[in-house]
Amino acid sequence: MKKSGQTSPKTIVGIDYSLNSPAVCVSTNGGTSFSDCYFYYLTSKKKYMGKMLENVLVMNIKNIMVLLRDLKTYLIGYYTYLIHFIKNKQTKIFSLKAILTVQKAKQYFKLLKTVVFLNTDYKKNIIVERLYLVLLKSLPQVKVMLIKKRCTNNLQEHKVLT
Amino acid sequence: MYEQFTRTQGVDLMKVFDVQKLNNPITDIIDSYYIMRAGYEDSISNNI
Repeated sequence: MKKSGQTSPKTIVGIDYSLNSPAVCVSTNGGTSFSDCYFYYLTSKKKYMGKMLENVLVMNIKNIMVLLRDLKTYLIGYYTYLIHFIKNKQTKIFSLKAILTVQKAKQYFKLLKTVVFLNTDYKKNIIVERLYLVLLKSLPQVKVMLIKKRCTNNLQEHKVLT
Repeated sequence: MYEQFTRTQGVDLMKVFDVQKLNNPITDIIDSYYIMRAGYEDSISNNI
């Protein structure tokens, strides 16, 4: 039972965005170990289109809906629309769906303290990054931070930019 | 990063995905984990 003064764990989302193989790490209970997180990835390879582990799942409509139900967040919805937009260049459809999604997400995010972290590579993904920032920063109670990713073994090399 | 992830988290994603070569989506999954961790550490130190 929740004690007086006790705050709910933050929902923390790490997004490794790319056009072809994005991945999302969601930590919902305050822990940061592998077993505390759910991972969602997008792939075009049939071999990987399934549940690899209980908490490692390919992005599809079914588990996106499960994620929405569990987290009460439409973050993955944004992501799916974003990928759809990038791949199909359907700007108008994307815009309409994004607006609807933002409206729904605002209701849910009132209930959660959610912190979203994005990776950043200005040279490769500046347009994608801008789209994310505009969408996510419009949500209440959502702290968006950019993480500069570096390919080393040192966790501290992932720098927080903002 | 893969080695660190495997060592610290006790999960070998190359075995899980049944691959011999490190490639996506494994690298992306691990990247997303460390992005979350880096932000988490910062949010703790800055009391976000």
